[in-house]
Amino acid sequence: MKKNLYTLKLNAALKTVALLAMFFLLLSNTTFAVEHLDVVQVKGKVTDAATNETLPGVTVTVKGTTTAVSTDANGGYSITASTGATLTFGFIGYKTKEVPVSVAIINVKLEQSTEQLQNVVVTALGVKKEDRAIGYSVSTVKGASLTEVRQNSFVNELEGRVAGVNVSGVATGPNGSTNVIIRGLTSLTGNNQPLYILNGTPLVNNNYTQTDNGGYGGHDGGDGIGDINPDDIETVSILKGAAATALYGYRGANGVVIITTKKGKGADGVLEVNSNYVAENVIDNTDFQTKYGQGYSTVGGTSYGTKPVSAADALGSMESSWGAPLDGSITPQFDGVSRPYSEAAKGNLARFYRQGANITNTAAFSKSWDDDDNTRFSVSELQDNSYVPNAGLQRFTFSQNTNLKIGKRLTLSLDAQYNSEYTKNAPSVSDAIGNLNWGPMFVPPNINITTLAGPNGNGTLANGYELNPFSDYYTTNPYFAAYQFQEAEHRNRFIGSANVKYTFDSGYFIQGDVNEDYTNDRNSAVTPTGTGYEPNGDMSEQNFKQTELNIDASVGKNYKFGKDFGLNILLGTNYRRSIQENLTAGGENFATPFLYTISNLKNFYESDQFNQEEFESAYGSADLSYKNFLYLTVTGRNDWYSTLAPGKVTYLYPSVSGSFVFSEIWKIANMDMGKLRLSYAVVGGEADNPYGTLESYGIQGTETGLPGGLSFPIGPGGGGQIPNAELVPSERKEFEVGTEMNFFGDRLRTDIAYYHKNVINDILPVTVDYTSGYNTALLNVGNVATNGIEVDFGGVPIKSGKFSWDVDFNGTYINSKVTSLGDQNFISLGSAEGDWTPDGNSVSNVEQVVGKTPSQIFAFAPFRYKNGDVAINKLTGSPSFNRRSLQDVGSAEDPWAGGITNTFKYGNLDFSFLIDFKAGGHLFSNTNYVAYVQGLSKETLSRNPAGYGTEKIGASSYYSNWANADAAQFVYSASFIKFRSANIGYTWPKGLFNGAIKSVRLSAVCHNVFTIMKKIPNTDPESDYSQSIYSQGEEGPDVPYSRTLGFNLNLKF
Amino acid sequence: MKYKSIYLLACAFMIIAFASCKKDLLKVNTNPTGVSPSNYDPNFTLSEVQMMYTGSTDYASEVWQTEWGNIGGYIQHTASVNTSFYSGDKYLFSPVNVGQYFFEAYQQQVEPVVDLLHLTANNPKLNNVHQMARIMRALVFQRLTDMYGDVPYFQAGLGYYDRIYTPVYDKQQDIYTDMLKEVSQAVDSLDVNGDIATGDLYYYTTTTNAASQVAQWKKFGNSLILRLAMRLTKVDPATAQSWVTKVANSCMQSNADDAIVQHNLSANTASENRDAWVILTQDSTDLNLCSTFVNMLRNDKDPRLNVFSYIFRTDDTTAAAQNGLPPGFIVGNGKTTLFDITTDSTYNKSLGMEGYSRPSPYVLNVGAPSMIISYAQTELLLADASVRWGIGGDASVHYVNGITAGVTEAAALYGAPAPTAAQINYLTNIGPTAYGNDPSSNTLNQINTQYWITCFMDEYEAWANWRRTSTVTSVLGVKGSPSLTPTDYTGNITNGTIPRRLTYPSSEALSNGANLAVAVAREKGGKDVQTNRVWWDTQ
Repeated sequence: MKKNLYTLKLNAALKTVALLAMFFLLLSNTTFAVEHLDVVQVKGKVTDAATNETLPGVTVTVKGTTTAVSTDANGGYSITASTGATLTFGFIGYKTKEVPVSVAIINVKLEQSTEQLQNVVVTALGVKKEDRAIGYSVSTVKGASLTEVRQNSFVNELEGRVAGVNVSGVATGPNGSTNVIIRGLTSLTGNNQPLYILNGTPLVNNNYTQTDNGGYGGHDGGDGIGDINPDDIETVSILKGAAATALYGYRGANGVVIITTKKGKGADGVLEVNSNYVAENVIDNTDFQTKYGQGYSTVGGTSYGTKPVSAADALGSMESSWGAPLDGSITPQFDGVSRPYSEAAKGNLARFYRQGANITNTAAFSKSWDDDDNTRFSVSELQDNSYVPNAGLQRFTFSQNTNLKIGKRLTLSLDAQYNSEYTKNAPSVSDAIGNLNWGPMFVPPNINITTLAGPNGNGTLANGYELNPFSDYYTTNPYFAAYQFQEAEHRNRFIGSANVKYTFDSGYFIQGDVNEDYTNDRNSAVTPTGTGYEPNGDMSEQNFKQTELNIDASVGKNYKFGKDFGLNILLGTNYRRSIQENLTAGGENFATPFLYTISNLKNFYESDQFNQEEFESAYGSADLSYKNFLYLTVTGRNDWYSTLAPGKVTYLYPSVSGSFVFSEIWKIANMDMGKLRLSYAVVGGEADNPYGTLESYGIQGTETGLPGGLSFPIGPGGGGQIPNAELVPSERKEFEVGTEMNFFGDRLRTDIAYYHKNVINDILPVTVDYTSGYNTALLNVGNVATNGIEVDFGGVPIKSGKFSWDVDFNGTYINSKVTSLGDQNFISLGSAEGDWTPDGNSVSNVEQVVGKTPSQIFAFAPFRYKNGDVAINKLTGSPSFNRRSLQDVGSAEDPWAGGITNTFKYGNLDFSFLIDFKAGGHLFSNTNYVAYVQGLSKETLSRNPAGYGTEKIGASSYYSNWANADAAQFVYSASFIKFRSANIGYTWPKGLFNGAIKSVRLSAVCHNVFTIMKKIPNTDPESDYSQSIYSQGEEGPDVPYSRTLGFNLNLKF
Repeated sequence: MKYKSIYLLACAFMIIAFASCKKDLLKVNTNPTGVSPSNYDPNFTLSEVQMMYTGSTDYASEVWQTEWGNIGGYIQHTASVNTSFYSGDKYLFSPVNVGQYFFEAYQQQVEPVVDLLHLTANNPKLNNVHQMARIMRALVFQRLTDMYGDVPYFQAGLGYYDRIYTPVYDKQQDIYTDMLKEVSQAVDSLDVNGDIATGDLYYYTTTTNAASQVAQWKKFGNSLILRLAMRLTKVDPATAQSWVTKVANSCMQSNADDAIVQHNLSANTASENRDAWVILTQDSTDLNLCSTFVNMLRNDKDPRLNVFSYIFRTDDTTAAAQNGLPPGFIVGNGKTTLFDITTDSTYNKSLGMEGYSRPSPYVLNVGAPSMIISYAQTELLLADASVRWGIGGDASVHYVNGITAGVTEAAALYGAPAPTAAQINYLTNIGPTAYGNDPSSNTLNQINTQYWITCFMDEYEAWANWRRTSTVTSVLGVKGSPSLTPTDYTGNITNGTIPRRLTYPSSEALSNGANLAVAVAREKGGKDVQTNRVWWDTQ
């Protein structure tokens, strides 16, 4: 059944080698046709003027002729020229040099062109290109900006920094995942996260444990990209559009983030130590009423509500703040102790959450032996004692990068990273079950949260059972949730790659890459004995294994035709195999209480899942240049899929992009560089899961007592998804135009991009009528059209003497619309936390709707008369449930986003800060809904003691009627402006201790400094509880936002 | 040139490499933890259909919401003061509850049974399983159409095979005609020399041979034909009579022929008794036995009262102690509310709501079996046919057989103490002893009251038969059997009458709107309401 993985890998490798050989020979044949001229044979070597490093691939041209060669792997060349001719030496990133032919050996040193070198960017497949040659938008972020003010997942630090890249963290604790959407949604129900590439290795970025999209809660198991150590990152290059990612074929649909790590190149035995320490504290956004305490509202009469008269009464009203005005009288509470009936809840968040401490230490050793041989090794430990009590994250990262040159032509590059990670007690969010965030948020105004800790301080009774402060057992004591619930996620991950490149004297190169990303997750979750809603407890043990193997082979060469035309050719193949294995065992009812092992379970289950996917691809690209101002790139990639109509579907994804550097033709005053970009490309999408094409029966291993006492398994239940043997890949067609202009000696930089993107044939689980026997059919029917504008303005407004001020602004506008969902008008995604109303509908849900922006939030709105007045039920004085309808309140997507970074330098002192914003998106806030229903919201302060209608009802009924009839009032604008981060640092100019320490830099850092503007009360606008597309725009009581404050120390020895 | 030969070799290599891809890729996309249709034993699906017919997997929400939330209350087997979960005795607006059965049945019963028909079609080695599938399909659809009226039938469950995503609604008359034809043909096509259906939960044992299994299935199939035919009593007596005459002598002959699904305690609840599981896990304390039911059993000195009913607080199953909850009440403040149980004479002030009888631990046991069709039911239907039309044998014999079988089976099924001969004799002798062919007496009422008792725990069937036997034109002089007094709770949606059908789930309008509209247009007044009657339930 499960074929040996390594046999398969070997097969794949052989296939790839075969393809590679073919491509290589194809090229070789053509080159042997080059003719010789018999005049003077000039030989020589080209080296870098500064480093003496040999330079392969330099174009050597006999000026005025079409004769041209490239230097070999060793920088050597040989060319025939007539005496008196001039040789031109040209190379990307270097100043062109001309040397007259006078002797037979001409060695040339080329000087780096600093201006141009800055503008070399990493493009698809890690190919470095001169910025001016690129016909699409690429953004680069330097690693340094991710390390000083840092978060556990470096991706979060990209928020607000890159136009077109929407980054948002998920409010789920220390190892939560990150939602990264580049240029809007590309899949309406599936994966929208970009492809991450680490030094050529595609990373697995699954988030297989997410908060439930029906709002039932759960925790976030973290994603794959969070495992990268920010201290290892040299640059992050973000390929946004289809033309930029077309060489990745089906994998490039959501954009590609290329991470290049630091190398040992140029280092003479440098030990670098970076220490980062930050303290983390909760940000309390709540602003609840402080006038009325716990209790029940009264109907009629003159009083507002009653305060508890007994412990039982107090227990019953722990989720009901409809009591009497707080008067300081001594009143019983749930635990039988009487305390003053006065405001005590302010500051509950700060009391419940603790001060977190996050310490990261990284030591890296770099050594370079000569020009081409170098190595870097780093070890890092992250210790996050989270501000969420009893939760945390510990991560060890070991990584190394070694580059070697063997002989003259062979280079070898080896990369490896090993992670050992332990996430402790990832908290549950959203629904009240097991959610430690619920209690501190919602206890009545007269309750100090610490009283819930009970005599043992951990939310237990003397017998170890849950101290239930809420009469509803499904609301868990937060201390019990924090200290008795157990979640442990142990991750071991290895990412390794080997790259071999052989460069022939003629300039051809042939290279092979093998990359593997292997992760083993071992997760345990225990609902302990004595839990209110599950007194006998339950647990699960999960062993999750993911591997992804990529084998690439490619050949390439640079040609020069005459003095004006250049051509770079690259051809390659890719084989990819991805396997996920999930073995879960668990069950409920511990036979011996408090003994948490699966063999102690009375009711036991186990499940086995094995997902495998395989893809084969062939790709090629041609870069054509004319002089130094016209560039054209054409690429193509053909993919073969295992997950779609197997064996039938092959798709060719083309791209064409061009760049016109007009400043080379027309000299414009004060303009240093001006270029126009134009591109068009088609890339594909894949199926999110395998096995969607063929019917298959899963056996449910249930023993059924037959009349004869025999046991028998029963087959699968119906109601699933209809398989589709005709599935084809979805397509993204994207047109992009942009311009880049620099003025005043690069004191002013501008970059503007406009794109139009069509997603076609998105694979959607289309709802079918259940009388067909199924819920959904997998069909190629979704279309989305997106327009967007991205701008980057940067500059150096002041630069005088020691002082400089650098400013960088980026802004994004996206207009996206669902244009088709096949025969249906909408697809329902997820719903808010389970707030069930009398007719059984959750008060809010998220849908994809034809003609609207993706991720529309729907909520119930009351019936209104023509004049706009809400229809009020005269009996109750509040609107009626039966006369309301789901209303489309807005999209969860933010059309506007941006950020501005200011950096001030004075000598060795620098100060920088980032302000970012998002605007136009919406959020359904379950926090505010619950606060309203429970009488915590300030909107519920008006409490009519006599009741509201002719049939008098109390304030609690009145307001909960309003909440359920008009849930749309809890959909808020998610717009915000945040002072995101600040960083002040000093670099000692000459190191310390007489140079024993070569370099010292100390900086003070702060993240989430403060919120400048937000529209939503009581919670943070960035409080989505899941990264999943199914619950965007849904907020529940999640882990509240935090502020970190600390310092970063960097030492080089 | 040597390069050329290498080039050719490489090309050949490449072609081979890619040629092998297609097959490999197909293999890669085959789920190794699943079973392909060609390797699948359809017997598993037969087990599945039979199991799901007793209640769906996961939360069995249709059993909770539709059967116990509503239907049990309609026919006054149960009552509750909890208007959120169990509002059946008050006929309140509960569209989600009444639609739930429709929603679950198509996915959990119709899909597998239609799949089973396809998996076994034209396969002589699986002929008997195929015939059983035809019978099972009728069993599944009878319950569905009896509840909702017109439902998708011919095109239902074909999402995969025929890509029918929005099946049309068929007329109930067409459905009945086809079901009778299908079951009849299937019974005739069962082959004593054919395959043994190892997945059959009703009759298969380790010692079963094809002949004995087929013999059982023929009796089961004929009993189902009898039940289908008798449903046409009011609307098409001629057809009903011709089918009854045809099968009268070949139905179940004793309790040993009963079609039963055994349940057992299992880790993931899949094989547990859904009625018991769902009531025990979902606010079981709010579900009481109805006074109508308890009083009827007690007045008749029916020994089944000890099996079905008990007082939780005192753990008392004695007949004298039983106290059924009158239908149509809530717990009020003791002063003002009209339907306040605390003001009722049956209310025990010291025990409160715990003073009312609840379903006993015998029936609320996750290991208790589910009755599909019983010999007792079959005999009572034959007694009805005999009284009504003088066909199918002697009514009094059938009646006595029916009661005797029902009383003994109820005890045996739930592991309760067996009734004494005296108890059974007493029961068979109460009321008229000579049944003759006098439809004007209340004989039919008594027969069908017994049927109503026998069907306890199969509320769907109890309700369907009550509607079949109810008429206002009253040649028979009964309002329905038994005569139930409807409640008239404030806000009920049936003007104080017992509902005659269930409404379709609201999501149907979104996912199959056009076809639904056609079906609703055929309804009386063009309305999808619970006071409308299904085709066979004429006035």
